[in-house]
Amino acid sequence: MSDQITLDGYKELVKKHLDILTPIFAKASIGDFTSTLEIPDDSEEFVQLYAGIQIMLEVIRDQLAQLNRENQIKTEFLMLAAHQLRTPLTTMRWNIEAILASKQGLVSDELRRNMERLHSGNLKMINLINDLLNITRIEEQKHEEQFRVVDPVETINQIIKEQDPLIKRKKISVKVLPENTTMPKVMTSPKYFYETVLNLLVNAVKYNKPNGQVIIKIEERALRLLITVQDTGIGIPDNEKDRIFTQFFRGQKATQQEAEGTGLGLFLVKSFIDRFGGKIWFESKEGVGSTFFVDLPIIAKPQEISETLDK
Amino acid sequence: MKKILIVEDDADFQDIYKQRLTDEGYQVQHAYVGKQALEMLKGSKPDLILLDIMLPGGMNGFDILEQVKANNDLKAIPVIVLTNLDGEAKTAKEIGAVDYIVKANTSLDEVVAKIKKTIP
Repeated sequence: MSDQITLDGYKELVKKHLDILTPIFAKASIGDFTSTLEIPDDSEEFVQLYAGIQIMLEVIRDQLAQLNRENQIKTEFLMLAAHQLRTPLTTMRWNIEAILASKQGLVSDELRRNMERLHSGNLKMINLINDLLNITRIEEQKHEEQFRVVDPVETINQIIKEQDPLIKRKKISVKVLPENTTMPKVMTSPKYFYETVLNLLVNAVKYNKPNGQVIIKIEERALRLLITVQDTGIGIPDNEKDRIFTQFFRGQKATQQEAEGTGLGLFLVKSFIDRFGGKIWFESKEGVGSTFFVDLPIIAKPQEISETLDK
Repeated sequence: MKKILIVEDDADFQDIYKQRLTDEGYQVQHAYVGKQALEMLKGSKPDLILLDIMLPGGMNGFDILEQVKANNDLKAIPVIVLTNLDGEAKTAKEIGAVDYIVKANTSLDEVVAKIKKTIP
């Protein structure tokens, strides 16, 4: 057959095989190596090429599986270590708190100051571990993240209620606008949505001025939801503005006002929002306050909505 | 005097619970593992159970909680889950826990306040 093939016939053969192979390469270029090939019986020249591609795909699949297994083990180890570390850190915390709560005169002023520093260091370690667990969880849940219908107003009100002790302690008034509203529900990960609002609210309260204000606004804009968290706090200096979403970054004034903090909060918030298909940005003036904007699609993933509705 | 059964395998935690809760005027009982806790519950009934989740001995906190809630003599006893495992609050409350506290994120004062609220 190959002895008598015409140029046109050969062109046709090449075209036929390219039509089979092109989609396989297109899939591979976006990380999908699941294609399988049937070895052709019409041309010996292509048999070798097909076999080579098949072996290549198999090797990539094996290596990816191995990588996933190793990653899984690493993640599990990290989660376990973090959980285990929390136990001794908590006994330290509670014992320090017991000493600090003991009757006047039993603990000297100097020892009390030492204990307070110990307490602050201990809380920092607990916060670090919590953030480490959060990061690990993002890694772990990349493939199994659950999207659900979330009521943004309900979640925001719940967080304000839970943070009431902190809000009272800092003497901040928190307002949600518009009041008594119902908003369209968002299709998103309930946990990440919660963490996002929690982080922004806690920041707005912690880095505020005494008797300051926090206003949370919720607006609907053409199938998107805009959440604004505005505070009357210390603000972000211009030279820190491009770094506030980076890992472990903490503002100089922010560190002075609040010793505790890991510099991971806004980094986490940004990674959550990137994965919702949303956007986050801010406006801030030093000494006046900051406003954070979160823009989320009301429908994040259509296919998951239908899956949820099916259930 | 109200009685509290603490199911907790860590001796340091047991000590500090005992110290603080005795100071608060509670009578405190301890179990290290699930089997021991269920055995103790056959005797006089506590007013509250504080329950850890990650426990040795083949029975975790959820197993104990399920058995308590399935037992007609015990199911009325409120159970507060006190653990360092997070993300399981929903499961614990579905089985019947009244509260779910992540130890590391809570001060001992807050723990005591929650106990007082549960058994005033």
